[in-house]
Amino acid sequence: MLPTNFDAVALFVIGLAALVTGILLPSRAASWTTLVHPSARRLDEATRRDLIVRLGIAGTPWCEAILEEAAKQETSSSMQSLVHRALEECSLRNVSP
Amino acid sequence: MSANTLTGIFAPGSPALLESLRTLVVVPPRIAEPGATVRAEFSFSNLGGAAATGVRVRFALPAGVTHVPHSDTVDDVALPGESESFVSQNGAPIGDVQPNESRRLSVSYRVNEAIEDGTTLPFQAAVTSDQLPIAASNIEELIVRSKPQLQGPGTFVSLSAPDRPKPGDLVTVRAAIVNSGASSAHDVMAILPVPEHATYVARSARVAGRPIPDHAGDPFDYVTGTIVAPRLAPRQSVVVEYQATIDAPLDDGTRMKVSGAVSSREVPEFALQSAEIVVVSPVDFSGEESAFTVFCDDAVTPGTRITMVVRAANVGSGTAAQVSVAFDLPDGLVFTPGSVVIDGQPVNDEAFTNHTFSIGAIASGRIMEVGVSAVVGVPPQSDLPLNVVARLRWKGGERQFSRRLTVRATPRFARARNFVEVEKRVAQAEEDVDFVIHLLNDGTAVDFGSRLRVLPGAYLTDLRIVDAGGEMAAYESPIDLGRVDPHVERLIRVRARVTPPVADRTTVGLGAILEQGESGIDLGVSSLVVRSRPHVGECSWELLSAERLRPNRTVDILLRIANDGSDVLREAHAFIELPSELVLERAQDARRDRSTLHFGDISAKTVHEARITLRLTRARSGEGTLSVAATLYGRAVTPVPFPMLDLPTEAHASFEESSLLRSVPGENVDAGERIVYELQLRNAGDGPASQLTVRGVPSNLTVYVPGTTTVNGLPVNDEVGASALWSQRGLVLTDIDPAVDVRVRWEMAVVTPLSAGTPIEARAVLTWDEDRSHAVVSPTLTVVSTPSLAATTFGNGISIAQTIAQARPEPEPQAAWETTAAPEEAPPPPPEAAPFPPALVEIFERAHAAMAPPDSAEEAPAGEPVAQTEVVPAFESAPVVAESSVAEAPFGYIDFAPDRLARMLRMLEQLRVSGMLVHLFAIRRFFPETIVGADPDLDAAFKSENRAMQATLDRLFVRLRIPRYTLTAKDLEDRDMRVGLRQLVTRLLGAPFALPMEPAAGMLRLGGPIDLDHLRALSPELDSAPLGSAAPWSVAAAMLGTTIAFDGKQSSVLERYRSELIEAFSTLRTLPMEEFHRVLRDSANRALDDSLANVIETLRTAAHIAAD
Repeated sequence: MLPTNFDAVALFVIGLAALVTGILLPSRAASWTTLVHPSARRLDEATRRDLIVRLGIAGTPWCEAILEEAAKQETSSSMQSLVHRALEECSLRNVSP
Repeated sequence: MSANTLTGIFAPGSPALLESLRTLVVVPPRIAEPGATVRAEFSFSNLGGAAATGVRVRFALPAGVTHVPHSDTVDDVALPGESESFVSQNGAPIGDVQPNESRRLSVSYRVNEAIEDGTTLPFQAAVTSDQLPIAASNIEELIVRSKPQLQGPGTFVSLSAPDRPKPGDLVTVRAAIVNSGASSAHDVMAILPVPEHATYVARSARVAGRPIPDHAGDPFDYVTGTIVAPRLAPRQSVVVEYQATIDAPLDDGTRMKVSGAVSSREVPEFALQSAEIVVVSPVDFSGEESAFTVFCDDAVTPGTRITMVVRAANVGSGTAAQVSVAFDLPDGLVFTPGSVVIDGQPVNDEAFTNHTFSIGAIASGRIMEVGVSAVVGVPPQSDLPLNVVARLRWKGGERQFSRRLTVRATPRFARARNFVEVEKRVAQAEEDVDFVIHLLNDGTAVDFGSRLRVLPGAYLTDLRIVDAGGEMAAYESPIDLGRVDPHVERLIRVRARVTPPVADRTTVGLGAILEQGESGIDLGVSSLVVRSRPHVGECSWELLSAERLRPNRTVDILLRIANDGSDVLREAHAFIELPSELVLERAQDARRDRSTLHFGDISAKTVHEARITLRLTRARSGEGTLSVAATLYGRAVTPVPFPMLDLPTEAHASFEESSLLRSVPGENVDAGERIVYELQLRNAGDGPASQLTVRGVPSNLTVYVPGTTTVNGLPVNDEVGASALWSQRGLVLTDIDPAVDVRVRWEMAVVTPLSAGTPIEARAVLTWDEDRSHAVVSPTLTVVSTPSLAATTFGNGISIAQTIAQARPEPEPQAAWETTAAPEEAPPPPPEAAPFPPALVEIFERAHAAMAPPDSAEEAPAGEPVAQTEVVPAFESAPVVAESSVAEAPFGYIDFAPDRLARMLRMLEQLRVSGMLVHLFAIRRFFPETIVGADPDLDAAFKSENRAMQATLDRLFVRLRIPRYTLTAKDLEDRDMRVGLRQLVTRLLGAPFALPMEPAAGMLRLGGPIDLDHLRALSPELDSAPLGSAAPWSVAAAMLGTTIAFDGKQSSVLERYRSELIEAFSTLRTLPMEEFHRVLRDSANRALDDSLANVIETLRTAAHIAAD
């Protein structure tokens, strides 16, 4: 009986985690854009991509801080790689202006 | 007790006497009735032998009977003695009885009237004598037969009520039951149901004054069977009563009575009835609830439909019968068929004959409404009264209502049929236009005293008016229309003139108002469209000064443009064709845009005057004339040329004031040593010198060093081993502009030996403009044993006649790159073909050529190596001397490595913004990082400003990608940026002037002299202009470079872009902040965009070369 109960509890916890992830993470994923400007809320992915590219081109410390926040919040692998490329661009520039 | 005493017999409880004589007879026998007389007869005989004496006889007196007085007889003879009676306690004496004598005694009784049925009456007689004991007779018993009697006059029922009983009143039902019989009545029952139209009052029942429980309601109903008296003795009575209320509503005159019955065990039920009472229940329509409502004001107009409603509310307690409502409609008020309604429901008109409607009955508390509608007819006269009467009738009563109305008949001018109409929809300016005013009185009365007021709109003047059949007269004030009959149309014509100035396609209108006393009726406005256009009647200009214009001086010209058309001349502007010597410096009452003067809109019938100021930048030497042409343009007019304007000019060159001959060394020289002479010439006049001849005065103490003559650093070929300075023709220089510096340098060697202290001096004679000359003498040198130094200089744009080629034309902006004197492509030309460019770009070119590798110098013609080797190191090793002698402004620059260049281009390409925002980013990217020869403070100022500008614009660069982003002042500038720029400008105004070194290999440089005049003029605005305005960008644009140098090549496309920027921002600075932001966001400047595109294309080419 004990294993059965344990499985049920585990399934419940996994389901709850998936629910929380599904509900909370999408809203958090876009919040870094408000660091660019408070009005930049709920931007679609294409716009966020362009913002990341521009932050990489500009490359100021202000941009770098936002990119680091974007790296924490963006979940998709393509967005992550884009953010990291932009961060590399920033760091390269800071090394050799 | 003695045996012969009669006392004590027949007493209740005494023992019965022995029946010894059976001679007692009672009549009637056995049965007796109450009140009946019973005769008892007793006889006996003295059968003995002796006389019985003292005989006494006693008869028993049973209960229920009474002795009939004087009925005692002895042998039919009344008993003597009044007081003697056989029924006495001791009997009565009858004397002596002789033997064999008999006696017959009788006595009468009467049976009581009230005696219970079945009562037994025992009769017995007893006789005694003095000698004999008591002898008793037989006992005869009678049975009484009796019964009770309830029905009689004493038994009745009554209904007590107020004098005028009405519904709701209290009534008392009372029944009195009397037993008038001989015996008791048992279980007397009263049946007294509550009378019809009444309701029992709970707990009101009483029997003999005592309440009885009545939980079941009416206690005397048939089904209740209440016994009101278990035993009612004869002569006894009982009263039964209860109370009830009269029902409401109830018909008037309703009769009420009580019907009941009484019975007992012995008496069968018999009916009782009370007297009737009559209930008074009236009908009442007198309350406020009953009303006659006419739904209109007291004053009505013909045609008004009036709804009238009679509301009949029976607030009485009785039902009203035969109710009817009748309307008396006066003349002038016409019944509307089909409008009759009863309680909101339509009724056939047949039920409303003679304007009367029969309702029938209206029960108490019911309400009925009868409504009809009528229309007010057109009266023969105004203020006609209308008396409307309604009558509410019912059986036994009537109520009348009335309302007085007044008919008001008025004239009326409906808007639909009273209006203004124009005869044609399009008219020309200054043309007469006819309007027709339609008037129609469609009211019900004739109109008197109305006045017509005409309201001309803008541009309509000279009003004339004519009524039907009259003559046209000027309209000055409202006209009296007099009598206006109903339904007769009047047409009034109004003529007006369209007066210019009036804009084309202007809508002009004329309105009218019909004034009636204090009020007015708007007849509306009729409009037409006016076609109008401007016309340029005069287009001239006037020179405000009669003096000849000198270079760098200005002259004011007054332009006069007369618009004698009828419309505004919009967007009036004149394109001025100025000769290259003239510059349009400022304009008053006109806005200048390059060679165009914008006058804005010129109103019709006005003359616009504008004043422009032309500056003569350069002029030919002497007197001359410059012609200025212009053409006026504007909307709706064909181009109008101004008459040609001739501008007399005058200019003269002058070298007297600023000619200097100096030497190095300056005081002492050793014998055999070289002396470097430098003749510094400056055209201090205001005109160019078409030809300047410099001749040196030979000296026998010095010898010319061959090949050392240079002009502004360029070698000048010797002529037959001697300098041209000592030739017969001299050194001839041409086209020396004002303020141009010329430095002629040559070297002389002091002859040796020469005694110390020998003075040496040099002279040169200048000749120009054919008739003017000036001698220049160098300071005197004293011969000592000291070394000498050599130096070289660069000069400005001049050419040397026949020996130096003409200045190369300025490259076209579209040309990306032009190759300068690159070593591998173009070796240094011989002095005769050496380029001598007039601009700093060309100086830079020469510097670039001079810095070429030594192999290029080796290719130089023979006889020149000394000069070449001296020039190049002098530029590189002593830049301060070289720069201070030729640079005119601080040289700012920014260098780009390939990757930085690529990033900058990528950012500019990524922008994708509309309007002029891209140019702010271009300024920030092209902004110099330092100037040549900058001190650490100035360097730091550049860095600080660059950082501030970068922080602001990089943020904006990112934010512009946000959808629908709103541009604010903070996006364009912050306080750090403003402070940094102000400090930078302050330091730049005192910065050193120095020529740049060539950029490092592989680096691209954007550089050029900073426009200090522009900075100086704009620096006050940096203190006053708000953050986010155009002023800082105008300042920053003036700091941009003018050339793009890369890989030994250069382009001047940046110079054109900078000029376009400065001009554009000079306009933007005048705009309000919001407008400036709007222009930045929404407006495009094609010329500026094209210039930037050229710059970017050039940079892109350089980036490709770098990548390759």
